[in-house]
Amino acid sequence: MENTKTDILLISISKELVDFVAGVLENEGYCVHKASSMRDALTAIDLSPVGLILCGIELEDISGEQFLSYLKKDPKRESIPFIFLLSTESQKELSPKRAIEIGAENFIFFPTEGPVVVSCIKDFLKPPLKAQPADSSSINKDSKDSQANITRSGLTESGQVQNNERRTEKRERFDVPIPVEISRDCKTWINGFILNRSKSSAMIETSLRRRYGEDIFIREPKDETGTTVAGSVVHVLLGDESKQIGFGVVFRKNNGVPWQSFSEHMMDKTRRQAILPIRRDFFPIAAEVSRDGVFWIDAQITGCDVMSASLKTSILAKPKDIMIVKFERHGIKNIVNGKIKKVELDQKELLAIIELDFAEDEGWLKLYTHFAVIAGPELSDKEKKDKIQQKPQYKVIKAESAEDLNIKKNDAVALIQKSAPRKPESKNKRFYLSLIGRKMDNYEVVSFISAGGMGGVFKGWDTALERDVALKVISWELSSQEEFVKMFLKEARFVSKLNHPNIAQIYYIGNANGIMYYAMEFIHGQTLADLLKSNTHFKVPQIINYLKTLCSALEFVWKNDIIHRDIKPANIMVTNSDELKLVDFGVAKLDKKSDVQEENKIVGSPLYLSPEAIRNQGVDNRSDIYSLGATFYHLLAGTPPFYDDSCSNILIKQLNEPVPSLKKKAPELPDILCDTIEKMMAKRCEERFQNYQEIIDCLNNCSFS
Amino acid sequence: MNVIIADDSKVVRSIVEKAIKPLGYSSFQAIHGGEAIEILEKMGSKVDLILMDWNMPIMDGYNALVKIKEDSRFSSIPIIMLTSESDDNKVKMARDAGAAGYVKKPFTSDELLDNIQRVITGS
Amino acid sequence: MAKVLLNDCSPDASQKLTNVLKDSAEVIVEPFSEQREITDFNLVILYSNNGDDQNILRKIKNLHFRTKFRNIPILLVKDKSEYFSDQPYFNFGVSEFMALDEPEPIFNQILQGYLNPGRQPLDRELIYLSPFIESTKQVLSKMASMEAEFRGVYFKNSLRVLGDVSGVIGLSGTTEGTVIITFLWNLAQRVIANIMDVKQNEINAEMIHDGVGEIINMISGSAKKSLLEASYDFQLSIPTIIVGWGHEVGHPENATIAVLTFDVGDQAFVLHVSLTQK
Repeated sequence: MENTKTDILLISISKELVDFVAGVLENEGYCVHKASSMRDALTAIDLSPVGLILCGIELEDISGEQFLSYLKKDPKRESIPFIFLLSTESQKELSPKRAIEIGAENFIFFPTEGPVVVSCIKDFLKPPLKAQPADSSSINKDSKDSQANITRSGLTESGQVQNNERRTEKRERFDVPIPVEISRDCKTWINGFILNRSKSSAMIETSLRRRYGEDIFIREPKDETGTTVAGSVVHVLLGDESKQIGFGVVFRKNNGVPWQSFSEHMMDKTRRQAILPIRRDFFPIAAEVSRDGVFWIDAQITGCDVMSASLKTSILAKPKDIMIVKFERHGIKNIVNGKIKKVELDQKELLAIIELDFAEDEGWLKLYTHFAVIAGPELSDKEKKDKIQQKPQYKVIKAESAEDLNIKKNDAVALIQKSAPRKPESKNKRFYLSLIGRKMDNYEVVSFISAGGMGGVFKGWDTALERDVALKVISWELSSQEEFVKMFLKEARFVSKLNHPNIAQIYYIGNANGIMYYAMEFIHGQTLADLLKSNTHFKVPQIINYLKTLCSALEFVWKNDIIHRDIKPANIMVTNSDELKLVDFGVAKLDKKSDVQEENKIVGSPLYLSPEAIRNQGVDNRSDIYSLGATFYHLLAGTPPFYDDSCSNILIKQLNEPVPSLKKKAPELPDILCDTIEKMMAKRCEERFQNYQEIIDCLNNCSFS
Repeated sequence: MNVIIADDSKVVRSIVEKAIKPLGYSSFQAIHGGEAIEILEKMGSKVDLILMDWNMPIMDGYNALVKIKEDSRFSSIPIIMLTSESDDNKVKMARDAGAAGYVKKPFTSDELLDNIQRVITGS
Repeated sequence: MAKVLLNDCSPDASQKLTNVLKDSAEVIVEPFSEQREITDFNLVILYSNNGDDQNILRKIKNLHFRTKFRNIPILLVKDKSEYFSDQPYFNFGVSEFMALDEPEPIFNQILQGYLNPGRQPLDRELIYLSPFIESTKQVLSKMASMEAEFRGVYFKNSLRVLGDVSGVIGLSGTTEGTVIITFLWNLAQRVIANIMDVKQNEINAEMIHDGVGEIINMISGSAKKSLLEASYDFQLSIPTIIVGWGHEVGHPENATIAVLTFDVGDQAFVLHVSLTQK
């Protein structure tokens, strides 16, 4: 659309200024109206096609600023571009920045050269066509002039057309300048502000100095993904003492990101940030991050706002990579995808400091709002700190160092509970773990299976006989007691002589550098305890078969004068081919010196201990029968016969309470089976079965068998 | 000679570029299959060779290979796959899709250049 | 006979430790020295009781550096077994803490546990470890023109990285696992500088990221072919690069964790391989 208003209105109280500028412009072919007061100015506007106003700071009747405000309020006149003519002296009354703020399109600082004035004007108003030859003649006259023209000749006709378009494009002024970063080479970036923009141009305030025609790159602050807009400088904004404070830029098409979409994105972002308060530099919030959703690592969110976050973590990544952020706390679960904009590697602390952008993911907004609630807008830093410490479930950890950051959540809790003394069990476990990868005599310790009261169990490899073995390492508490060691060796020797398909074979007892262990048959399968835990449903005929099998195994063992002493689901294994194996003979025996009643001294579970064992009255095969009964009670009923919160209560029940009716708990079970189990669990050993054959006989009468 | 180097690793792009520089080739770098295709769109038949990594984000090398071979404008441009996964399956897949060559990582610059030589003179 | 080094021990500590160890090991008692070669020791014990955490951590980090990633556990001995924040020490390479006031049996048992030699890989483990050893040597030789000498394999009970920068890659499929390469900065920069044919001081964060990622990618990708032939079938994840010490990385539950150590001149790096067949 052609601008039909071609005249220039020049107003100032200073005659000198007016004469100078008018002279320059008329030379270019412009039609210039001069005025020195608002009254004259308004008349000129009404009578002539004024397409541009050049105004000084001071008019006869009012100030330039007041005049501008007046004009901008008038719908008929507010669209006429307004350029202030400023000088170093007048700066005090009206700074360039203010000039733009109140609505001027641009300003020119005086004293200056003619061509500067001309080039500025030409951005807003092209000279009338007939004056064009004058243009070319002026090129030859002034070398400075030609320089300006040459740099602009890069635009040539398309430039001229562009100029027109730009001039007629709607120019959007920003009340709050939009922060961006500017660069001349895409390497070093300096802060800048977009003061106004149109579809293909903008006015930028920045301390970066550029000259006419030179290239300029703009990007979103701190964005290292390489997304930049390229443009060239078309005029220069001058500030105090003719110092450059910014420039006007025109954007080339088809070169990097289009200005239109970039500026709209920036405007949108600023608008969004204006709605929800920007809150940077939170008290660090712990979250987890990942590149692929597989490996997760702790991260500290150190600051965030509505669309982005800064965090510290140990994952190194690159701009443009995706990073997934996971935040899971009581009730709040959020997984958000962010695009990495910038990565800094702190080589000293060995941390990556990452800027993430969440523009693509709405989930961030939800999470951000949640953080904002924790931090609290009106609270002071101290109050925030207190508030956060009140709610330890957020696990807000202020990272003091790289080592701190590596603390896993559990350890963070331990850190808070500084008063708790170290328990020996954890050290035991660490000891067993330290054996992994070591060799004890001919046995290689391959992996850790479990740790119990007696010691640790490992999977091992027998290098001599080339077969898998189970290695049981005796705990230090037991192996340090001479009495125990003697008893253990004696028992183990007995058991190793046993050869029965349902008894796990003991191969070897050893002492590797003072560590007592024995090697036994490795059983591929699970214990009855494992199966109970996984809620396996046992079929009654199967159970009866198991019971009969174990009875005959224990019969065999008993005939060899051995009492198991620790029959429980964890000591009965079911192999992958559904065979039963009895493990851990006698070695789980309670330490004679310790008092059974003390909770933390009981080795093994109290759930299946016979009354006489609890009372330390001497055990025999009938005690094994009791434990076997209790074990199978558990299998059949789904719960142990006696259960309570504390160990001592369980023991008291074992001693005194009658066995709860199995028939009541599982009515579908055959009566004979229930009676058998309950008889096995009679409080007094005289009232139980006296040998295993009797049990087998009873079970054979059961309709299911 | 214009060569497109598509690999998401700056390290690999740098090695390849350095390897082919002494031959006087001009190289253009892409960090994923999509970018490689963008470069092709701009340069068209001026591209003489594409060195394509397999595993890249956004569009991997295999998909880019297939896409380029389907496009009659570019189907004659030889593509050499670069990848650390050297199992026979992958080699076959690449060949079936029209790859002119296959360089297994790790490679020496000699191995790379030999492969390029073979492909260029062969085509 | 095992060789044990005692550093900075108080007279009490020295006496107690020597008593326990004297029958099963050759014990050398010395003040801590940053230059001391320790690769021929089986165990190093550092004593500290002055609570000067930073200094001790520094010494531990230095000791670990001198172990050149070999299987030489570092134990820290204090006088009293009171609670303290032990995680930073684990992060820098301490294997265990001991206190002189602990019951003698456990004190002895722990020490003696560490005197047992490390085990050899089982045949079935060698089947999948050998391809990784080969591909590691090949990658360094072809891409960086550096000779990586394989120094041995040992087994750990957790996958904790004790180095400056590590490349982690996941294996999924019928074979599941985790493979991690761990470097100290200097060597990482050296290797990548060699690969890219630039000066070591020109290496920036992006190059470290891409370089380490590419190295672990190539090592795993190259090993894949031989592993496939041995029926180990898997897909590789994208590499995750982590910086810093002490990170524990997830691995399949019943898989053993093998640590393959390599020397490049007088520097060292490791490749951790932990995998299992479903």
